[in-house]
Amino acid sequence: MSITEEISEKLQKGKAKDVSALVEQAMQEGIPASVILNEGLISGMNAVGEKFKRNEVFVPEVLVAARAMNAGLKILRPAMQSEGIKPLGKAVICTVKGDMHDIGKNLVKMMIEGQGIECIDLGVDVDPQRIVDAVIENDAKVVCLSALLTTTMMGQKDVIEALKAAGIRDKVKVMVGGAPVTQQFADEIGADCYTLDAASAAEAAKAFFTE
Amino acid sequence: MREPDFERNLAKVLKKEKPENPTLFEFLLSEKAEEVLSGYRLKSDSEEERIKRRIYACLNAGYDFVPVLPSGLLFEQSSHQSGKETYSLNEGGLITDRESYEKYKWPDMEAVSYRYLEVAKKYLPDGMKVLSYFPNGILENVIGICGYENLCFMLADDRELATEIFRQVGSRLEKYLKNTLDFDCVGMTFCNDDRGFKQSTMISHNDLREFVYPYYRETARATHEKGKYIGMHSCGNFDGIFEELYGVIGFDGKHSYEDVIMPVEEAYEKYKGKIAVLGGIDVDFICRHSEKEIADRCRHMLEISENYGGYALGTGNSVTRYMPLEKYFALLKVVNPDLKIN
Ligand code: B12
Repeated sequence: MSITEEISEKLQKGKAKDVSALVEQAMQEGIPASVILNEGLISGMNAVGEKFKRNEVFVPEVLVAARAMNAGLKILRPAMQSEGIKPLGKAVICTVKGDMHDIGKNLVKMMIEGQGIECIDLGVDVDPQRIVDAVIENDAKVVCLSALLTTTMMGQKDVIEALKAAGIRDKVKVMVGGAPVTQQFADEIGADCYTLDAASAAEAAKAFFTE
Repeated sequence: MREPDFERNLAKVLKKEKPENPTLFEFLLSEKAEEVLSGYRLKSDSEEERIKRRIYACLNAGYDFVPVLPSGLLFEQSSHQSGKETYSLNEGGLITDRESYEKYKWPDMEAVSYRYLEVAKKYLPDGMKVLSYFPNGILENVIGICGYENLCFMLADDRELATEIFRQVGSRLEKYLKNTLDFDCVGMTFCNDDRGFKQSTMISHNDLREFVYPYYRETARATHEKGKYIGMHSCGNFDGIFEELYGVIGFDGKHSYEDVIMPVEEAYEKYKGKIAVLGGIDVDFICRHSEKEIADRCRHMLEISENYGGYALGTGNSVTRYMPLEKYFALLKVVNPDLKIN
């Protein structure tokens, strides 16, 4: 097994210390940061995402894997900077106005970050205007809106309206999700993307950055 | 008014039989719903007044039971969590390691008063029984004490500590529910513990089996030994472990259904005769459909369960603050056409 494969394996098992040590070792062996990142860390996180999609692992395992990924990234970051590796781009993420559910939102954020996308997390109970401001300020290409209540899922539409009013609707892709949200609802409110789970959300987000 | 009769209605549903009359089930009502249904204004904010109002509300609505909760029995959770409708399950956490575990003050079960059950008895109309429940379930309380993410890390890093925390919470919940069984007015116990979401459960199936289910199984055993019934509430997707709810733990009824996971009609077809299906008319559906559409769906549910039994009508989760009351009343009127609202 190559060292990047080993990083991926340990990451999937959530072994943060092992991942850190292996990343360190790989760097010493002169493996480029981009290879360690893509073939080690991101490939490991993708594998976890796939298993999560198929219900083969549960949320806690995903969180523990994400923790291991972050431990590896911490060591790798200086090398990434000197190699000039930049995030694919920025996404703004939050739970909409009136809604405090944040476990799903956090998971989506972790998985999206796991694809090398920078996430601006505005937290929960977020006003449409703040989202618009954050998109402009950060030049974000994707907006991820989480809503878990019937009342607040309507708030996802308000955000789309606010983006239109600010004249930036066509500059961003709007992704929606959360317990009561369905593809049909996403179509009704004119969102660009709905996914059932966080791993698919990350894939879809990546596609928006690379298309 | 529909006369309450626990034994002939809800108890039969829980036995997976046909109830004498179409039967209603609801676990949590919003303050507003309780106020309007009871037509009663609280004279003070006392435990007795609140119980009285809830009984009047349940009686008028047409339920055969009233859910009663002790006051003052709570596990200490992060300060920003208490008293709010919601909070971040990720924030804070009073127990994150051994050291904070040693410092944590667990509620003294000997000090719990069951006086409120005596109070309920005083106002309970003939035929109505109490459903006794605990403030949140085992997993919910452990998440409240540790924080969700912390708990997830603990399950990977220190399973012994996790075992102890679950034991502290689980054994108290079990003891409390068992003690309520000594009261004649208690017809059923209820384990309300949100353990799932759209896709799956919040912790793995194996961890649920190891850390949570033993206490529920023991509570179920004790409940049945007294000839009483036990129900449960949990949101979420139980694909892969649904059968254990009745087969292993021994729950008589399950509450909480969501259309995006499995519509109640489908759940009923799949599980009738195995576990009583309680409630199930999706909250989102009720909020976004007309009174007629709601009544039609309710009637259809009663029709398909007419021959086989084992079903009680109610919402998929609870009568939330944002659910228009007329829509909830449309559901009630299917079973209780004479419903009067003052
Ligand atoms: C835990 C929970 C709570 C916790 C929330 C803690 C927190 N900080 O998050 C507490 C106890 C505080 C709570 C409170 C309430 N809750 Co609540 N809650 C839940 C529960 C059981 C699980 C939610 C969860 O964390 N799931 C775990 C995560 C991982 O899943 P998820 O959020 O669905 O995310 C996944 C996908 O949806 C997707 N996803 C999520 N976001 C996004 C975003 C994008 C862009 C994409 C692409 C994908 C995506 O990816 C995630 C992972 O794969 C759900 C049940 C359910 N079926 O979801 C009810 C539920 C959401 N709650 C409900 C209700 C009614 C309430 C309350 C109103 C209760 C009350 N009566 O007071 C309050 C409202 C508070 C508020 N204003 O927000 C109802 C909502 C019904 C409705 N349709 O309106 C639900 C559906 C329960 C039910 N059966 O009816 N709740």
